[in-house]
Amino acid sequence: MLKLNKRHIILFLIIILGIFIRFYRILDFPVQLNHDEVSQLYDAISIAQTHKDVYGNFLPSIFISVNDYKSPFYTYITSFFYLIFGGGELTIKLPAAIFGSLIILAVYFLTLKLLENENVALMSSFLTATAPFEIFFSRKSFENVVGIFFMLVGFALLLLYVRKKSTKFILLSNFSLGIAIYTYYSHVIIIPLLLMIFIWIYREFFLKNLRQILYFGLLLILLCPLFIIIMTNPTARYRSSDVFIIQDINLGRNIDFAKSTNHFINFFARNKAILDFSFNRYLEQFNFAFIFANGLDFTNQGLLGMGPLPLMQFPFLVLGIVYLVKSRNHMKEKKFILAWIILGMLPSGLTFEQHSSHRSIMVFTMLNIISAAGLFFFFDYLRSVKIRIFSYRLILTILIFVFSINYLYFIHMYFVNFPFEKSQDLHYPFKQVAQFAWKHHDEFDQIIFDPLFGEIAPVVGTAAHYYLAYYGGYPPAKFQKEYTKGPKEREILFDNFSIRKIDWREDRNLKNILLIGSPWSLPIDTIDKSKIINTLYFYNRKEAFYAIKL
Amino acid sequence: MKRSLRIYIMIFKNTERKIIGALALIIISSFMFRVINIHFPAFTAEEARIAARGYTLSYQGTDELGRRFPIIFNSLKDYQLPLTSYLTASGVLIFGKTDVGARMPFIIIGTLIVFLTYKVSSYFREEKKFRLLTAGIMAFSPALIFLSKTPNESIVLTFLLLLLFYFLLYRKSRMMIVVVFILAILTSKIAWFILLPFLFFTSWLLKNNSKRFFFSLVLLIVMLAFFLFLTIPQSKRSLSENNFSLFSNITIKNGIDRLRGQGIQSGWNQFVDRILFNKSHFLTVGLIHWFSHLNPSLYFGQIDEEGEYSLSHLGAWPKIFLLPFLVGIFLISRNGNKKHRLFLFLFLVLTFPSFLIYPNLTLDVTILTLPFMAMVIALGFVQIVNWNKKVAYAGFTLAILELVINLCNLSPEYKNTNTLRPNWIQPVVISVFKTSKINKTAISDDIVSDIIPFIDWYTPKANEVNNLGISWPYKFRQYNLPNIKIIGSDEKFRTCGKDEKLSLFVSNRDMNKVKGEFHVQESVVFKDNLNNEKAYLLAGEVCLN
Repeated sequence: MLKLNKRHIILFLIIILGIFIRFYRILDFPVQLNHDEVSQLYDAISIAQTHKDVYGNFLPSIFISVNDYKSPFYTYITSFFYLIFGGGELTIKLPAAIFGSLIILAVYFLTLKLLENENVALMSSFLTATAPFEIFFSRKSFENVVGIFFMLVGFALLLLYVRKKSTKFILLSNFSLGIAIYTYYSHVIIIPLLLMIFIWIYREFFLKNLRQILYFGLLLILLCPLFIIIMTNPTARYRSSDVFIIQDINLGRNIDFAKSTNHFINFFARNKAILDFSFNRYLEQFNFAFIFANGLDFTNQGLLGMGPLPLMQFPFLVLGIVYLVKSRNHMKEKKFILAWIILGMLPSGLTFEQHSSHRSIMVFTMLNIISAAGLFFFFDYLRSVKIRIFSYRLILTILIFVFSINYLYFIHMYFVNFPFEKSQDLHYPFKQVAQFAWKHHDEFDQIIFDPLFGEIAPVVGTAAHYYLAYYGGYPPAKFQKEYTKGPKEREILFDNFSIRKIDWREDRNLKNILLIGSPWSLPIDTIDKSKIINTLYFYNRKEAFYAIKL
Repeated sequence: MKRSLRIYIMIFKNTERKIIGALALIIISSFMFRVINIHFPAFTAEEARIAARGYTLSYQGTDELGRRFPIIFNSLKDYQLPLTSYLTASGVLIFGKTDVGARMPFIIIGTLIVFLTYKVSSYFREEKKFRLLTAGIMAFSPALIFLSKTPNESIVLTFLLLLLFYFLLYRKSRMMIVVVFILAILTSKIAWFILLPFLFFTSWLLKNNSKRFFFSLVLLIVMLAFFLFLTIPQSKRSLSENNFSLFSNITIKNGIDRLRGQGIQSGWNQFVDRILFNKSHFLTVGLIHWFSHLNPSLYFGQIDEEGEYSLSHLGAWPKIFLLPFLVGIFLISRNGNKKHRLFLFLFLVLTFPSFLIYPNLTLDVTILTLPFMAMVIALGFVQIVNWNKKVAYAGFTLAILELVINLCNLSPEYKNTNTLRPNWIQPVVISVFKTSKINKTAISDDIVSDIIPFIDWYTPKANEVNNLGISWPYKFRQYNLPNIKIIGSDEKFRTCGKDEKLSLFVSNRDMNKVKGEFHVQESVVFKDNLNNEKAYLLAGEVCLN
């Protein structure tokens, strides 16, 4: 029977705090469902109602979605939530927010197993509850939040198994890691690698208990369907090659420069260029500015932004590293922490984006644990030097004040600046476009929507058909039947909607049509103002789309 | 072969001699790495300007603007302090107007840095093997090899700061230390910001008894330097644009205002918004920018994408040195005494000026940290040797191999630095020079970003320069050459008269203009490293208005 003590109450309060931060006005901020959320939600509804995705694929193992081939777990779990809570926007938010809250507990559990220090575990759970990256990704329905939860639980159980040697722990661990692998593509590589390192670190234990390794067979069984998918479905490989570093334009230029007429030199120079570039990209993930200043990409103001970790955490991260290095205990666990960080940065370091914080969540989670060790070390030091109680309280007050300011800054960034500066990244105002289109649905023969938009430069917004279908409450079964690709550029057709490029010279002559397009596709100054029946704005009130009645 | 090996063994049969022999081998190989293929890297316009200035200073006693032995020089970036130019002049005076002449002083300095690192690494360990390893690591730094081959301030300042550390460590005479202070002050403005904290920190680290004396003296010298500099016209602009750009950069202020404005617009309390977004963000941004200079990717990945400070695909060190560096940091943190642990703060001291320079990275300060970093890498290497000798040797071999591969296959490097280091400009300007001896000659000003330094340097004999009467040239772009006319973007063309003869070296910009108006055929086409046509010679048909 678990006895409740002061620490449990603190942990409970931390979890409540974490839940509050993750759920507070979750439907208002972020200011709109992004294209990933809306596509996964509508696919989830489709699966729940018809057992098929919107393109008519029966229980797919990979979702085509908007040609980005999404991993299946998050969509299926959303289907489950749909059956309970219905098709509201909250349904897509719930899995990440719930698992994002559970991560607080999982981090506590893992830290306890890693460092066997209740205070450090409590501090790490507090840092996790309030970490900008955890809050940000938990509120935006990011599938890797679920994956990280299962990963933390899986490895914590594995540590427990090594200590207690109870078979149930290794079985549960394998089950948990198996689920984690299904949630996010990079886990397919990272978790088996980390597992191998774990076994190598604890090789003495596993050598003594060779038969125990057989239990990892459960994980292999769990992974069989995934391997079959990868082997038999070429689209599964498409996703990884699509985001792989080789797509980077700068690397392409380097490869081009390295070309030689000699076949051998050409082969060698090309691979050297890739190696040089990848190595640099990988190390770039440890950039101070990325981690502490602007890694979450909340603003367009350079270093005035928000990193995955708050700036004030940096000194404690350094102290934590020093503490772990100096401490002679938990050598194996520390090796595992190091491996976690080194491997965890690989997905972000090997993709075409210079920085991608969403691919490095597992590393930031571990950095929180190390920072917690630093906080513990700091207070332990203060106690050991026996400073006066007044000085101790003063230091504590300053710390609380500084952290509070930093968190207030994050709250301001998240609730105010992020929507103002980056609403376009969330496909804002696609929701308003969809709602407006449905309002006038019966008044026109056809509604043409060109999703080319942008504040500074034009980009083609993806998932426009998902937005239109979802916000119109369009039955997925009907959508599956009607969805077709039209003859015009980027054209998708369903119901009386045509999502395509607007060619004003031709389209101006159409009759009884509603055209919705941005200034990038419409010569707005030359159009008769009486024809413009509505203007839709970005969150910062800049014009995004015009609705033209023809 | 066998005989020479026997002689070598005979000479270096005792340990002391072996050490000396190994050190000599390291120094010779580091010198060789710097001398072999001396024409690489090709000069940037700024480096060509310094090289050409070295020639005019040594042979005519004037700079490129005709001023006699000035102390502040012109560049397109900032005022340039004198030491680098006069060092180049000394090389050109001895070796003539050749690549050897312009590069040799820096090659020597680069090699001396290796030796000095050997000496100062006793800070960590007295063992000579460790010190040899440190020197060996220094010898194979791609960035230091690269910078040792061009006239630049970074390598000189690195040398002087290391020399200062050496003098303070070995308690050398005050006089020598003062001389080094003054030389550093005359090398780069960055030194004005570093010297005081560097001296303060180093003296404290090394427990130097004369620290008060030095501190007062450096304070005096630095203040004097600032004071004298401020008497120069445009000095405030120079400091604001190049050394305090954090405060002159409008994007930070705009960013603060914008973010605060968004809060007010959203109904946030103005007082809270002021607390969250105010001028203290200049310090935050400066701090973050400063710490970004200690990014591992700069040291082990890619220090300079452009290829100005190093080979463009390499960091300051070979990649494999990352492992011993991490081991070194680990050892210092775990086993090192207070003196060793505090040493790590030296990196922050040396990179401090980057706090004030925003938004670009100040790679000069990253270069300054390299000798001290070599010691940390060496500490890690020693540990790896203790763990497994074969792995350590393999690692070192791999590092050398990486360097050699990059130095042997320079084709990608030439392509990548096609604009910054246009080695293809040499035949163009030589042709211009030769033609100018026969005909009137004109050349477009946009074939490269700044053509005159290349004409001045690559042509066999510099043009005699009359004093232009510019006492303090700040970012002054030269257009004055006696025999050669520089064609600007607003120049108009016409058909040449009966007895007129003009050789035109035109860029794509002017070629398009000419082709639009006249039927001409280029007689020579000059291509760049990417095989793109960059310049055309038009002889005798088209003239300038």
